[in-house]
Amino acid sequence: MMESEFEDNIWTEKHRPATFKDLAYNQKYTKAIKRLINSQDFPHLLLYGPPGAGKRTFTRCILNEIFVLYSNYHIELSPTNNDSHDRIMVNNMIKETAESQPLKREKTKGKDFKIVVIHDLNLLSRSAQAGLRRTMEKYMSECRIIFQCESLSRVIDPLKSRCALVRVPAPTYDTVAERMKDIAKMENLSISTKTIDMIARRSKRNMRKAIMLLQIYSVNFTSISDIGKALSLGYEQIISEILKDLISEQSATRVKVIRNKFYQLISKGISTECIFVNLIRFLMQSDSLDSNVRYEITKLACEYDFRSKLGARSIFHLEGFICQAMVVIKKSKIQSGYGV
Amino acid sequence: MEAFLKRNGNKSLKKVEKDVEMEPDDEKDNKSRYQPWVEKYRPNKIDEVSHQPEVVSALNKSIETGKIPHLLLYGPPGTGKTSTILALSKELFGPEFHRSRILELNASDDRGIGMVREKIKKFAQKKISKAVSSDYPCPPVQLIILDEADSMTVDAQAALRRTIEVYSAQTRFCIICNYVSKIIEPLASRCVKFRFTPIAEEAQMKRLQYICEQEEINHDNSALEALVEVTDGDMRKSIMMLQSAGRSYEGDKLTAEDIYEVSGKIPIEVIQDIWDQILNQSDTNISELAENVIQEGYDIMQLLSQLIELVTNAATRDVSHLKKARIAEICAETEFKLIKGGSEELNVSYLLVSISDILNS
Ligand SMILES: Nc1ncnc2c1ncn2[C@@H]1O[C@H](COP(=O)(O)OP(=O)(O)OP(=O)(O)O)[C@@H](O)[C@H]1O
Ligand SMILES: [Mg+2]
Repeated sequence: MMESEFEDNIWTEKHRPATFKDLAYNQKYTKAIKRLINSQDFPHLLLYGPPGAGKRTFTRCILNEIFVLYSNYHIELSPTNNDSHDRIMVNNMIKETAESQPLKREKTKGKDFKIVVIHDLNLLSRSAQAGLRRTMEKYMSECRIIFQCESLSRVIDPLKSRCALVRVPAPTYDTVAERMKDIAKMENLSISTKTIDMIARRSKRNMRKAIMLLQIYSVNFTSISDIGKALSLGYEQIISEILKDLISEQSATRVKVIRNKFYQLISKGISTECIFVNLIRFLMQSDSLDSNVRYEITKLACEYDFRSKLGARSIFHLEGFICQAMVVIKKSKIQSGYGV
Repeated sequence: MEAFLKRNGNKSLKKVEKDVEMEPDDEKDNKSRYQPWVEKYRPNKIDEVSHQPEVVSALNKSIETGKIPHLLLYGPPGTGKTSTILALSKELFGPEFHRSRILELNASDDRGIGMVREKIKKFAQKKISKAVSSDYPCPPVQLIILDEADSMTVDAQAALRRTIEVYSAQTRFCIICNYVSKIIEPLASRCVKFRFTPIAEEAQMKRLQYICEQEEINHDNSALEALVEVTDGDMRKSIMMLQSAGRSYEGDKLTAEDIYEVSGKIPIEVIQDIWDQILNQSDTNISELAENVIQEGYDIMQLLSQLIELVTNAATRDVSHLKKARIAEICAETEFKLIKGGSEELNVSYLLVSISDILNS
């Protein structure tokens, strides 16, 4: 009860399509997948695509299409990172589900198998993925698995070859804007096309983010300049400042200034990867550095992000990156004859 | 643990006692209705295994004589290793005994040293009933199948060495893996080794053709050719793709386009477009380009291999060999970082910036 009330207040949940009919976008994929799962013998599925593209929604539609009452006939697993028992857990879950009592036919449109949904497959350790190989084959006729992941690069080949791969691309800007207009209408929110456009661009084709921003707008803001500020999402603002700090001066005192900003970001719960990604995005947009320097800095970001994943204290790596980047910038300034 | 499992409903799953014997025929028919094609078209007899003549003839001989050595089967995914061994046990023992005579242990089970010893011991010490089956050879041995053995620890493998010898009177081991290098030498040397090779074009075509007939898929020949092309000899992959394309295509014939659509291959125009944009020195776009690749959801490993392909084919003839080599190097580095957990967007940005740097220097 509580839960459904809660869900009603969150637009991303409230306006999540439940059936293929309601899916506002990805029409082409929708049709193909619908035909596939309408056959009784469809294989395991692996949905992949960027965050906010609609994988979860898609899964929900699939479940709804297969079963009448979806929620009682499937099981969902969300692996967490670095879980050393995930191999045994996942396998036991699948075995248990597959061997459990057959379903009542009338509730499942006559289908005799169960469904296991596994989110974030890329977080599952390699050994857990390897452990799934034979299990997936053995229980294939009793149990279908729907995997979801953001990137295929950490999914092992033998596993990919056991699933039908379904790419779920992010919706285009236009689709995001369209959808926002629809929701605004349903919520009786008056909003200008310009604002919608701005939010759509800000959310970088991430539908979830766009709808969230729309809701924030509906509660808090009325003027366009307000929303402009709010939408830069705090952390993006700080990251763009860091880049400016970095470019304008290379010194020990500047490192200290930047360090404080990093701490701010970390305390907001922004991941190191997110900081690096955004730094590089801003870097590529700025034209105050020449392409060679930008290349060097991108290389550094890539390297330090990688190291931070292997290490434990992210601040070391962020700061190491900043110092190295300063060296690169300083060198190029000296070479081009100014700022000595 | 609580957070790991989010179970929706059905909290009290009851195990159903499974019948050990084979199901009656009509039940089996019913079951095959729900079987995805990869399982449905798994070879039932050793003779049905395509493109592995060496194994097939050797094992057929074993069936005739009833003499089975310890086996080690290795090779890339989807080439018939598991299928071969399952078919072997069926042909040896027949439906009546094949469940009681084989023990299948795979990577999904807990395979520490203790467990290997315990389970195998329990199984191997069992007395074999004198089987009298007129239709099957039923030699007085039992099979222990260790599938996906490459994920077994070295210690567990070492423990197995001794076990194999102790029980070798009536127990045969069959070890299956993708990489033979992951199996310790003393273990490997106790087995007869068979290497499974990627399935060649004609063999795949024949099998796919057969499946198309059975499933009444109206197809263009180019579709099957496309399948063979994108799957690199992985038969499971091609059957899987055949099903997902064959069950979802629009129009009246299954065509090569339908296959490419489900194959996860990045459309060639997209790759070409990325290449052209990089060449045109418009490097302020690069982060947008990278973002776009990510947002479209393309598989980055696929991007890497298609870039390498582009670099090595005639379309990029005017790029010097040295530059090509450097591009290949960057691709390799990116692959490594991605597998080890590097950020996709950063790595793609870096990849594209580097290629731009190489091409325009
Ligand atoms: N040589 C073959 N002949 C006929 N069908 C094959 C062959 N190889 C693979 N297949 C098809 O591919 C499916 C998977 O094959 P199998 O399970 O034997 O692969 P595998 O070699 O064990 O792969 P993995 O290393 O991933 O476990 C089979 O169900 C069958 O449909
Ligand atoms: Mg196998």
